[in-house]
Parts: sequence; C-alpha cells; structure tokens
Amino acid sequence: MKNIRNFCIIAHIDHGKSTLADRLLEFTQTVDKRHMQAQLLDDMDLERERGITIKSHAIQMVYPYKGENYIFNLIDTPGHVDFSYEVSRSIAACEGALLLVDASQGIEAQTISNLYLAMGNDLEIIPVLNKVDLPGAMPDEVKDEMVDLLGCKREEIIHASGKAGIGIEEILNAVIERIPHPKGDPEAPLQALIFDSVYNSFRGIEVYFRIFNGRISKGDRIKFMATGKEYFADEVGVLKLTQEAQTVMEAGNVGYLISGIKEAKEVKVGDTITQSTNPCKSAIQGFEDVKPMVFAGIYPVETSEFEELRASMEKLQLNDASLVWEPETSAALGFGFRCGFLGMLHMEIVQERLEREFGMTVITTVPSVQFKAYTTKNELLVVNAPSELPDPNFLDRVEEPFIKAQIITKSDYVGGIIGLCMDKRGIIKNQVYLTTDRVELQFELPLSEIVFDFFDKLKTISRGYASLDYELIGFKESTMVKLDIMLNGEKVDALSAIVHREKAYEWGKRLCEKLRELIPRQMFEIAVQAAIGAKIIARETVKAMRKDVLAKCYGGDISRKRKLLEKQKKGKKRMRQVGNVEIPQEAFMAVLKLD
Amino acid sequence: MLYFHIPFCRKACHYCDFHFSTSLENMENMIKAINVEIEIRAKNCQDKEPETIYFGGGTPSILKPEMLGSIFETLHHHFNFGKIREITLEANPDDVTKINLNAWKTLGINRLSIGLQSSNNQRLTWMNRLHSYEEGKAAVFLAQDSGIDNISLDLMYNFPESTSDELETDIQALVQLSPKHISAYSLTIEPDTVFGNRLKKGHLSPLPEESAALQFQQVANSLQNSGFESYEISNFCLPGYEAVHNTNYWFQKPYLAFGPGGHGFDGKARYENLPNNSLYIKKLLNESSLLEKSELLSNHELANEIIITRLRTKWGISNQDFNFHTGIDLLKERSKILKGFIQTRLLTIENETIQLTREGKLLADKISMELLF
Repeated sequence: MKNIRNFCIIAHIDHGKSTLADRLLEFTQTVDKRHMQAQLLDDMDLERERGITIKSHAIQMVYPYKGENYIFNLIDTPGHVDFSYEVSRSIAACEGALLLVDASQGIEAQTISNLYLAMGNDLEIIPVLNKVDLPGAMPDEVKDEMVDLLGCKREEIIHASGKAGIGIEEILNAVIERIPHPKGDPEAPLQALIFDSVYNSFRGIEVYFRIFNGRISKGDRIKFMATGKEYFADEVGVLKLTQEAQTVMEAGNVGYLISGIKEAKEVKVGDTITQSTNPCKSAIQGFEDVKPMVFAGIYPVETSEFEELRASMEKLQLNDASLVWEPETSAALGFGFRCGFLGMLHMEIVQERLEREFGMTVITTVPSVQFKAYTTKNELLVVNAPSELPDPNFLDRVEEPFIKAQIITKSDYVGGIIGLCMDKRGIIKNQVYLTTDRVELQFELPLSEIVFDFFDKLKTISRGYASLDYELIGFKESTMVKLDIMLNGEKVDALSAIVHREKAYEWGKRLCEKLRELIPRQMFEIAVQAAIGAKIIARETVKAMRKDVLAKCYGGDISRKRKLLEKQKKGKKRMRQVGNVEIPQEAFMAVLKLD
Repeated sequence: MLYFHIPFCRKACHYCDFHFSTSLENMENMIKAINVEIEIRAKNCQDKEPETIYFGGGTPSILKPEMLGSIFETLHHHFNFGKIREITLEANPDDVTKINLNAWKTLGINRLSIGLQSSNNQRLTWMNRLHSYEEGKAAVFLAQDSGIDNISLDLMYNFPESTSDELETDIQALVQLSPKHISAYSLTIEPDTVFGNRLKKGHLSPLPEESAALQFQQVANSLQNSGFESYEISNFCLPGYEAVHNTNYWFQKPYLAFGPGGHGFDGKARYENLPNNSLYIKKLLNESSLLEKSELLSNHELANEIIITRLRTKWGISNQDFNFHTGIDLLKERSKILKGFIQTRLLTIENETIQLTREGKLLADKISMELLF
C-alpha cells in the first residue's frame, strides 16, 4: 500500500489537463508514443468535440523511483456543474490532487470551487503552473495567486508544459514524495467506493472503484450497500491502457469490477461495495442518490418513430444512470417520454446522443423543474410537466424547489452578478472574500430560474470567469401560473411553461416574439398567442408567404434549383406539424434563448 | 438541341451572376476552343439532327459575324440541319446593326431575344445596361425590318421602390414594339453581384413581398390582356410562338452545351463546363480535352426535376408522362399533399394532370418543394 498513489487533476477547461495526462502516460511508458491518440482520456466523440470530460475514467501507471516501483492511479474528473456530484466522488477516491493552472490565464473560479472540494476532503495539493513555455505566460503573477489561495510556498509550485514535456518528471516525483500513500486495513471487511461506471456492450457495466479497506477477489460474492443488490465479482482488475484482470485486489488500490450488471441504474456513484458474507459495518460517507433537476418531454419528429425512440432511450439508459424517463402523451406531439435530467447540459447531451448514436430526430419540449402542487382538498401532486398542474379552480398553492448557489467570481463582477441573481428572484445569503480580488457569493434561488440560461448569463457577466455550484435546499411556496402558447387558436401543450406570475407577461411577450422569428412563414397567416388561463396576454403574427418562385428555370438553373428545394425539403423533416402549422425543432427550445 | 454559352460582355449588369468576362481579348481563341468542343461532343452524340440551337450568355451578339460563322461551319460539318426549327441569339440592342442582322439571317438565325429590360432610362443606367430605351426600340424595328420578326423581349420588374404605374408603362412600351414573345423576370438579387453587395450593406432594399406578388400578377394580367399567353412562370407569347428551345428544357429533352459555364444534359446525367474562360481555352486547345463536372441523376432526382420544371408551365405535370419517365404514380404517392393544395386553390387536377392556378404560380417553388421525393 505504501507504494500506491491515488490522485486526480484539478484544472479549468483548456488549461491543459488532457495533454498533461497524456505526457504522464508517455513518461511512465503506460502507452508508447506511437499508440498515442491525442488526449487519450476523453474517449467519447462528444467529449472530444465539446472539449469537456463528461464522464470520469481512471488509469494506472507504474513508475520506478529510487529503486522501487510505484503504482499511480490517475482518476479523471468531469468539469461541468451538472456533474458536480461525480466530481466529489472522484475526489473522495484520492489522497492527492494536481492543481493545474494555465500560466497565461491564472486561476479560474471553477478550479477554486473544485480545489476547495479537494481541500475539504483533505487531499494533498500539488500546485502545477502549466504552459510556462507560452509567450503570454505570466508565471510570477499566477504564482502569487496560487500562493494566496493555497497558502503554499512559492518553491512548491512546479513549472510545467504538457505540450513541451517540461516538468513531467518533477510532477511524478512530487506525487510520490508529497501525496500520502493510502491508509486502510487489508484484513478488515471489504469497503470500496464506486466512483464511476461505464457501459460496455459486450461485458455489461464496468464498475470503477477504490478500495478503502479489505480486499476483493475474483469470484467473491459482493453487495452494493445502497441498492442492497448482490452480485458475483466475475472479474476484477486494474485499469491500464487496457484492463488487466487480477485474482485479488487490496485496500488502497483502484480498479474495475465486472459482474454481469446490465443496466447503469443499478450502479450508483458513491455507493459502497462490500462482501456479502462479511460486510463492513458502515458505508462510505457521502452517498447521495442523484436526482434529476430538469424535466422535459422528448418526442420523435415523426410520430411513427415512437417505438424506435423507446428502444433508443432504453439503450441510452444502459450507460446513463442519471437519465430517467416514463412514457407521456401530448395533445400536440402524440406519444413521447417525460425525461428527468441532471441539468441543461445533460439534457443537451441526451438529445445529441439520440441524434448521433441512434439517428433519431427528436423534439425536446420546454424544460421544467419539479413543482409541488396542493389542491384545494390539500392533496399533494408532484408536477413534472406543465400539463400536470391542476386547473386554477382546484389549485390551492404551488411550491417550487430552491437551491443554494455558490458563485465564485472576481470582485469586479460582483455588482453584475448580484443584479442577475436579484432578477432571478434570488436572495443573497453571504459574501466572502477568498483572496483580495476573489469573492464567494451565496444565494438562495428558485431552481426554475437557473435551469435555463442562468449559467450562460453568469459567464457573460463575468466574462467567462465565475463558477457556479448548487445544491437543492427544499421547496417554498411561490405564485406560479401556467402559461400556454396557442398557434392559430390551438393550444400547443409542448410549448406551455410554469412561470412566476410576475414574470408571466414578459415571458409570454418574449416567447411570442421568438416564435414569430423561428416559425417559418407558411401559406397562411399564423397567430402566435400567449395565454394564462383564458386570458390572452401577448400576440404576434407570422405573415403568410405570398410569393415563392424563382424567376428563371433554364438549362443550368434546373439542377441548382432542384438542389435548393431538396435541401428545403430535408429541413422540413426537422419540423413537426401541429394542427396545420409546421414548427421547427428549435422553436420548442425557444424559451432557452429568450434574450 | 444545342446550347452555346458565350461568356463575354462589354459591361457587367449589376444584377447578373451568370458566367461572363468583360475582357474580350480571348475571343478568337474562345471560338477556336468552342469549335474543338463541338468536334469532341459531336463524336459521342447519337442525335445528329438538332431541332433548336440557342446562343446565350453573356452576350452572344458581341461575336463578330465571322466568329459566329466559324461556329456554324463546324456545326454543319458535324450535324445535319434538316430538322432545325429555331435558332435563337440573345442580343443586346447596341449589337443589332444592319450588318450583323444580315449576317445572322444568312447563318440561319431566325429568332432574337433582345434584353430590353425597361422603358425607363434611369432604371437602365441604374442596372448598368449599355443601352437606352430608344436604342432598344430602334434595334427591334431594325430587326423586324430585316425580316427577323420572331423577337422575344426581356422585361424586368420588381425594382426597389417601383410602382404599379411604372410597371404598366414598361409593359405597354414593350407590347407596342410588337414582339412575339416576352420573358418577364422578377429582379432577383444574387449574392455575388453589385446589387447583392448593396443589399448586404443596406444600400438597397427589395420590394416588400406583397408588392412583389402584386407586380407578378400585374405582369400576367396586362400581358394576357394584350393577347399574350402565359405558358411558363416567366414566359409569355402570342399563340404559336412558344420558345421551342426553352420549352424542351422543361420536358427533359437531352441537349448539348458548349462554352465555359454551359450546362448539358443527356437524359440521365447533367454536366457543367467549368466556368473559367482561360482554363477552358487552355484545356481544349492544348489537350483537346474537356473540363466538366457531371452528375448522374437518380430516379428521384429526375422526378424532382420534372416536378420543378413542368409545374411552372401551362402544360403542368401529366401523371402518365411522369410515370413513363420515373415509374412513379405521382397522384397516388402525393395524394394527401395534392388534396391540400386543391383545397387551398393552389392547383387543379384535370385529366390526371396537375396544373398551378394563378395563386399557385406565386408559390410555385414552395409547392414543388412539398411534392419532391
């Protein structure tokens, strides 16, 4: 155990985490240069394109130092607020962390937030100044910041460049010298933390774990403490570039487990693995059953593709445990699914994966949070979709979920951010200066106000700097109303939303304007109306198309024109006919872009 | 049928995005190159008896009589003129001289398409046309006097800030010249033109759609009142004077095209000669080879082309003919959409033939799009 080091890398997007990880793998000869595909750790297409690591992974390296071989387990962490719980579990699996800061950018707020999480878990932090070879590097200023924030000594900061391969050996040595080896009792009952899982279509779910106490052997009968389910450990092993099966693994190590689990939802990140016959006394602290925060309907653009969509969603759920759904019917859209997501990014990812991996064209309805509605008879109704909100005559009150938001920002932006949060019905709870120019703000905010575009706005106001972390704190009564959208007098339930009464007029007006822009002109006029109950509060008109005919159609024009019209026709496939109106896919998401 | 793209103009009109060059030095070599192309294409061509020949561009009337003569000489060498019905030359008024007219007649040219565009000299200058209305009018009379009386005139409308009065003046001015055929084109602002640029910079604002629609209908009504029949969205003629060549395009007849930027069709595949004058010349004169892009049409693409072109004509889409070309029963495959359009009075179906109504013509592209495969 004394030769094992478990650590992660805390870094902002673009600060070079993946490149540095690649260099560590090369230097320890875990992978040779020829087999190196840039940024090895991000293996989903989507992750590569978005430049973010959505799901965490782990990799083991062996590094000889002063005549001894050391085992390094590098645990990767996702970098988006939707996945903050996963980050916290990855951190809990480590004894140390590399704090990677871009020498030309300085420390970003999200990094501070994750750094605090790591420090709170008593991780040993190794500060690394990355990209020191770049012309724009300001090593002295950034080092000042790091010293200020960490209370470390200047000489403890390692100069590095993932690109140029500078400082790699120094980092590896520091991991051995500074990060404590894991502590634990191999003879005690098994106690292992699940920090991630991955779906493999051939082998089922692969569970990634960190053993705190005891050992796990191939063939053991094991139990997941939170779900209570029992399995056989068909295979355990360590995560090199490929998986290497082991007969037994001991306290302190990180590895994978295969036990024939078919569905991702059986494996909960943060759960504890123990032996069925000799269970540990208590589970590892910090387990939370991650609950969806945002709900939206997903419908096929072609009604006939409902069954195909169901099959795709089922497959998607195999490797996305946080996605929950149930069938739903919409008057406008027919059969579809009401889905729960961790946040907006998660929702976008699900939609994109449905399109890319399963070739499904889907419509996502206006996202909503979960409300609690009490009827006049004081019955509680859990409302996940606007259509589920009872009629005002039977509605006594509505409670909406509130969050505690923690925002870290440069002090310059405090005014703007407070303004934004007030506009979102927020109440400021606390304001702390972390360093001379970095402030942590705490707000209580309605969840419904932050799920849409809050994060984007926060980024704009703070020029990309501010970070956001939030946790649910409970439900509070609010005056919410259901806002309906009608097209040519017909209510389109998929465009309805539950909004705060004071904001309903503004919301309705802007939504109508946005829809007027997004709904293409058709051969007849379309009235776009917003209504609360029977009362129309806004109206816009999509004028009828009067003329659509090209002047010339001779020799060379014919194929050009055919291609143009074929392209238009293809675009129509992404539109959904509601009544006699064609609505493009983007229109259903219009509420997300209301400014 | 044969099409010649003559890619030269003295001056660039501000609306035009066809392929042409205003550098006229290459003209001699261009003719040589076109003659080589005729030899190459004639070899691989089955049908040696064209019905129509069309010289378009650019400005084909810019060619000196001996240049045109040389093209005709090569043509006579490789093709049989026995079935010729129509030879059209697009002409700018300034080229319509006695000498040219005599030469054209001698070569067999029996139809002129003259780009008059407007009777308003300010508009003509605004479009960067070379001629005044008076010069255009003189050209038409001269041509008629010379014995070429099958004349088509171009009319442009839908000008920014134009009124229906201005349009009516233009229409009547053209009708008075007794053409047999009028092609009326709604001004279209193309991206890579002077007008396109002005539009981008906000210096030009197109006519509002409602006014554009009204002008479209005004053109059709006024010309009809003057005895012209609307036989295609943009084409009007006195009885019996439909443009044979252009009509053949809409019936998917095969044709050969020559000259850079020309498009040809063999009934299954379309080709385009690379629109680059010097490369075209170099390739043909130095290597005797063609520089073309060709594309084989799938059955659906062919079907789509039939829909797009026929729907614009007075003949419409005959289901039987459509089926003959594509094997598709259009009325059956698109019955629901067609029914909708009949209900909204955008088209009619009689004798299994789909035809646009007056209102339908305004939305021809949208309707075609809905019917595509």
